[in-house]
Amino acid sequence: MSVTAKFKIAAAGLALLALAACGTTYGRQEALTRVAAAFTPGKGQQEYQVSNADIQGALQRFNGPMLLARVPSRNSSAVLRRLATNGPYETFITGDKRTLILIDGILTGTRGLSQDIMDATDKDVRQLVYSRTDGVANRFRRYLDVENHTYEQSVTCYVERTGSEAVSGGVISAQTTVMSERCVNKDEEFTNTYWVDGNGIVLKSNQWVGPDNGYIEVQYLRR
Amino acid sequence: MPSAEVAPDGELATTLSYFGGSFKSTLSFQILPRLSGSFRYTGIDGLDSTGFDTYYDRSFDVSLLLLKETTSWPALSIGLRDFLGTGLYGSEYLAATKGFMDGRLRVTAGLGWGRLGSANSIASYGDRPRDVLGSGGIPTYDRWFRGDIGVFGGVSYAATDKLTLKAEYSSDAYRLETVTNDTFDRKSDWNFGLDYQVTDYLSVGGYYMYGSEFGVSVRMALNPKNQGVPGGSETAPPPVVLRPLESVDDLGWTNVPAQQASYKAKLAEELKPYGIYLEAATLTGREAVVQIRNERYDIESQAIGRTARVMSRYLPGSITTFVIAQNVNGMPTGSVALNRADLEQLEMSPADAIKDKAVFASGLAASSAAVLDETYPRLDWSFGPFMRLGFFDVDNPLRADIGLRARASVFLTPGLMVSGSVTSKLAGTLDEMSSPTTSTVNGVPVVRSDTSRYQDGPEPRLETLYAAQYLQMTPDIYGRLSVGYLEQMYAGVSAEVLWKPQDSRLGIGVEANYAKKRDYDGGFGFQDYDVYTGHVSAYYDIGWGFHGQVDVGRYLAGDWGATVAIDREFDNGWSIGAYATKTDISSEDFGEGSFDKGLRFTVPLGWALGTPSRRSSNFAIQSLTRDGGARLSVPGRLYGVVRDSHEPEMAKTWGKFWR
Repeated sequence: MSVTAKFKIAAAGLALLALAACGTTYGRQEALTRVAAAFTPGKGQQEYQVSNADIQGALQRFNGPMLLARVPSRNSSAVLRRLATNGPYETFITGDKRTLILIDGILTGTRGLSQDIMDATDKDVRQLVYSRTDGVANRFRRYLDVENHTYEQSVTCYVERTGSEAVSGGVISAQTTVMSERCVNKDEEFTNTYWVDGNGIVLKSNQWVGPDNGYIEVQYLRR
Repeated sequence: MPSAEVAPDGELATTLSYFGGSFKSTLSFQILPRLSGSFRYTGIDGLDSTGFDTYYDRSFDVSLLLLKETTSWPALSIGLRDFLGTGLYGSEYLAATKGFMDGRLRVTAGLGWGRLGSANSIASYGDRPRDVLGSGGIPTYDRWFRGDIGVFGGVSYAATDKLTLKAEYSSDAYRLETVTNDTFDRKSDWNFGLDYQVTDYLSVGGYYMYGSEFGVSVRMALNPKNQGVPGGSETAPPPVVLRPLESVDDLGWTNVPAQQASYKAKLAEELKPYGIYLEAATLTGREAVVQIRNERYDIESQAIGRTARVMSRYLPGSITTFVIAQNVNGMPTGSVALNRADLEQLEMSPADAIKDKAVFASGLAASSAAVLDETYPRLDWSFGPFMRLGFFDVDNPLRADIGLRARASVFLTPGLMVSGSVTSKLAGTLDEMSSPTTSTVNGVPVVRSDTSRYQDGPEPRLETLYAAQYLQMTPDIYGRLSVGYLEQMYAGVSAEVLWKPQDSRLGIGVEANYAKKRDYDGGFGFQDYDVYTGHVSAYYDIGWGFHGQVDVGRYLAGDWGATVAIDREFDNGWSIGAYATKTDISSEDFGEGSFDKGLRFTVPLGWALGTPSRRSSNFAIQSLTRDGGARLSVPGRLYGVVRDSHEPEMAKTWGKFWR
């Protein structure tokens, strides 16, 4: 169980008395549901493993680009469909309304994972990865803290080619170049891995979200 | 033993400890990185100076870090203990602490006055008076740093990450406990103990004290600044939708009333799942003006952001400007105008970018919005348990009642509401609190000290029943008129005017009330006491997380005076503050404590749950409920109603706009 989940249970216990009520005032019912969810992990949150049948079903049910994502630290995975685009940004959504925002497969934002990436300035890094070129670049990501203040994480990243591999998933099957991106600052260090096709699209990746979520594995099922 | 160690900024800790017949509960708050305050409540068995088996004492401490630790110098702190009140624990100290071996070994040495100078004294400075000032509760400044000076010291060693061993040399003679009363034997100056850190926020300790006693303690800490779910775990917002180019110049819909109505209906329907209710809307060719009621988001910028996103998805492409006002009790309290093209372009940019483009204005900027038919009348009700706490009765430090409360509010027209609540107490001891039996005490009318007589149960009691009208008069001025049973002890008329420009950190309010004391039975009847009461109030957002308030005026007992309050506000809704009221009632007539003062706390439910909620728990620790400096409790005062939707408040957490 994550620290967040433990914290929620503790907090939920304290909140119970205040919530054992009914009425029209919004918040009571939802809060009560949340309290219940905190005691039954897996029901409210995304602890769910996607099966092959789930993937095939989703590909048939929806049109357009789709992703498979897995968050190992939460032991959960989900199929996401594309909900919207805004310029190069693609927003994908899970069944339980969490979203990932990507540019050609590189994660620039999340919503609903807690400790979300609010936005990113990472053009230089993306350029290196898409063009499958070795190099060094800075990347910046902004998060919200517990007081809802925005703070920026800045890291220096070393991008390099580490090999080539075939990638397949959903309706996609392609030969890719494997790129590794090691990012460091004085508090953090993480290594992202990208499988990039000949068009410079990241078809599959393992990317750092933040300390609470750890890494997320993302793979296109359909482009 | 004091030390020069400081807790992380914002940490709130409770320590419960027991040794030698005395039970202490201490609430400490790191007010600023260098300043901390503590409130201690002590019960000592057998200290029967007042005729009770257990003597209860309240005390306040402050500590200031003068010098931070460096590689060659120790940290240095100065502190006052029990500097208000009766001074049972009254002492002052200077303490220096230095860490060695990467901080695993910490050594403290210090000088103490008062209680901390009662043993191992090395010198003396001046005379230390023994008389209590006033009726207690007044800073004991005449004693500070006077009298015998004692030496204390100690070492702590972190044997592992979790286990710390401690030894200390105490300069507290415990004269009161060992000589005047025989609660324990003090055979040695030395204490030994160990602390075990169970989790980051919980530790337990065991001690061998003064060569004769064993002691235990539990410390629980939380920090509103770094606990909780960062950014919240609520579901994702809907993405902004970019308009098709060809829709931008299509104004055909503006001529078809039915189409306009259907856009409004669609918008209302799509906002509902987000806990946002459309109360009024006007759509013109290029502008949409809406008033929303936000029932979910404690962070207002998030409500505005989600509303704007939904508007981008469902409103005709020709509309280029969104004006979104937030309604509280049917009154628009503040508005934000957004350019639709900016929303489209800046959706993936830092929230500051859209803030620079947003135009903040008063709620009147949205007054052109037409009220939707379904907005009024509206019933809002709830039924559930409640808990009330009572602190520091002479023979019981904590009392509580639990019961059931039914509450309903009917919103009739914009700004007009009728609200009422009925309670039924199921269990509790609040009604056993001591209460005067006369209508005046020391010439002061009994206006609050008989609270316990309003706490009978289980017969239903009418808690409140009143009508209130809210009205924004000019862009900077708001008004409120409330009439009826305003609180469990008083009924009356309350009129308030507040000046609070939407971009101002300062607000000034004037409130005038006529209040009549209600019968003890919780019915509609009255007692033979009425009063004109009211205040001029200044509210100021000081910055750095602090908020100040000063109220000057006439209180319930007809006494004139002022209340000063200061709160440390965290931007997730937590607030921890202190207040004091001094009126023209003398400290002798006021009674124990000399004047009214207390601590107050707000704990937001959203913080506890990790998802947005506008509910929060408020509670106050008052030194004692007395009649001097008591204020009428009017529901829905204006400042709290309008402040949150104004720019200075929203700017603090604007990052939630895109969350």
